[in-house]
Amino acid sequence: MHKHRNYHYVLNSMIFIIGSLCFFSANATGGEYLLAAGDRVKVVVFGHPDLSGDYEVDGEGRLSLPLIKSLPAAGLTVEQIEDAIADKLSPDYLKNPRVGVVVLEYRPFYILGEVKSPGSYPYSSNMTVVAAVALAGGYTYRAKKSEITIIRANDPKHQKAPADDSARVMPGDVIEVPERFF
Amino acid sequence: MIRGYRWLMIFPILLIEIAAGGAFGQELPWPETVTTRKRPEVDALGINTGAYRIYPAVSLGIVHDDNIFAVATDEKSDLVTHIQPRVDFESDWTRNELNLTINADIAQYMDTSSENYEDYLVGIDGRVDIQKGDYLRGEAGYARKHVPRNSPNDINGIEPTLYNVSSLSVAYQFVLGRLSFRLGSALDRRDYRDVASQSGTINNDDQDRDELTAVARIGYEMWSQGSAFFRARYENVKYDQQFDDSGLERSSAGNSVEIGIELPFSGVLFGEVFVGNVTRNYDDSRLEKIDSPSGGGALTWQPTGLTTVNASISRKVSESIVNASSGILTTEGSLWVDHELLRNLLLNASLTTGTDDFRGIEREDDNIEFGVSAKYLMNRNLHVSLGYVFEDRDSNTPGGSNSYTDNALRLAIKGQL
Repeated sequence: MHKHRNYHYVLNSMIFIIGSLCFFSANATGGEYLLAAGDRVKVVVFGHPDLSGDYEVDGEGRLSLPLIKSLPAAGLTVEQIEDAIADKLSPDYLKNPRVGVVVLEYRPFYILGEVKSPGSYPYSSNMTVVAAVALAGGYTYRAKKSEITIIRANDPKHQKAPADDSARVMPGDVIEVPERFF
Repeated sequence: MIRGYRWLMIFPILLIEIAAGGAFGQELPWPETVTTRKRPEVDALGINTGAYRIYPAVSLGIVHDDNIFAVATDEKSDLVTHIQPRVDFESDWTRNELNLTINADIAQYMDTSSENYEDYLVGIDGRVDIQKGDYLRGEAGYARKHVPRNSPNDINGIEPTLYNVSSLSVAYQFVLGRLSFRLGSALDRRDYRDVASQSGTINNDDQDRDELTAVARIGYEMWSQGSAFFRARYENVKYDQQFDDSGLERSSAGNSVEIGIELPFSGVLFGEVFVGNVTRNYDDSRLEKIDSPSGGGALTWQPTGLTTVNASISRKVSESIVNASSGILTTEGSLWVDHELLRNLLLNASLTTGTDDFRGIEREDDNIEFGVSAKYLMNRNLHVSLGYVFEDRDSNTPGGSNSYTDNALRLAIKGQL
């Protein structure tokens, strides 16, 4: 029994560390990562495996967990959702709960225009525009590589912004590779 | 007897150097160009019958031609309707191929119905793959054609001169290490029909002839996909009648030898250039022998994936029916540009300029042809094209009687499956 608890402690600690790394990685891309519909997260409530598990932010941007049912998650950072879950659990269900959240799977990004296989693709950390194009099969012969645009998922105005090959891609971003005529 | 001996001499060449004519086509994996690029979204799907795929198509074109007789004075314009049906049967095999094509061009002149013509062609071609780089090709065809009014060999009949061409060719290519060999031979049989003229019927039997060509090409791969080559060509033209209507013996034999290089293609620039010499000896000593330096080449440059620039230079000897002229030595240069403005909108501009040197007489024609066209690929089944062609021939004949200028505007719609 004691050995089993130690195992849980190590596992939870590892998830916490990985989550923190991912979080800081997202920060490094130019702003804290904000959760949105389609993201899958792992929630760990220390010492309470029955409250822990993998959850997906639903289409309305909410996260549903045991006991606390659902709470708004879209637009919150990982740290904010940890606090929000802890607030919901305390003090009715737990005293001083310690909650860790890690994003298991980011929502996809989208790429369209002059790539060989346009569509939606799973996001992976530190993805750049050129990596996204490679995932989409590469440029077509009509691609205008110098005028790629990107619509950031967190841009409320959904404006197209110029992006070069090395620009970072975030989950939910829409990349457009325009066509050239000459 | 002498002619018979000459033919006997050709036979061993045919056996050893199997090849020629239309079968000389390049089989190299040239990079795709604007015109050869596959366009799955608008290319015809064809009808799949298992081992064969059938591509039926018909094109309806309307041409406004402001000088249908290609004359210097009293030009006559007309509106010409072209109906061009065609069907291609293409084998869908992993090895070897066997194809059949049948096509026609039915031209109806609105005001000058005497110019109406119906050309057609039936052709079959095949390839036997022996091993990588080695293959045997063969082609056979039968066509009915007409002599265009702008041809220097147009005889000015009341109607266009019709002729039949039967052709047979075979070519063999094989590779031995860095050496590559292409051997080929082609035989064309031309049969001209008589045509009515203002002064009676013109008997064209004196143009009926057999044309034999044998070619050998040896290449040495000096770079990856590039080689230096030596090419020798033998040509023999044998007229059915020993003397033509002017009393000349026009049968001839000649050859050309060329050395050149095939550029290592990078996808940006590829093609070949060569220099050499061409000769032609006529049976009649009154017809001037042709012995001229020759050279040429064809280069394709693709500055971008959307633009292809082609350039070619050539010098060749062709038959002449002009009295006292032994043959026409044509030196020609062409430049044409294809541009893919949109995936389904192709633009083209071309310029061809050259000189026809009528050997044995003083006549020399300077020719210029300029054209622009646009092709809109609406969908898999419908393509529309619009084009304009300007032609100018400046001849040094007295009074410029053989000079002409012509403008033609063409609109065509093509349906295909």
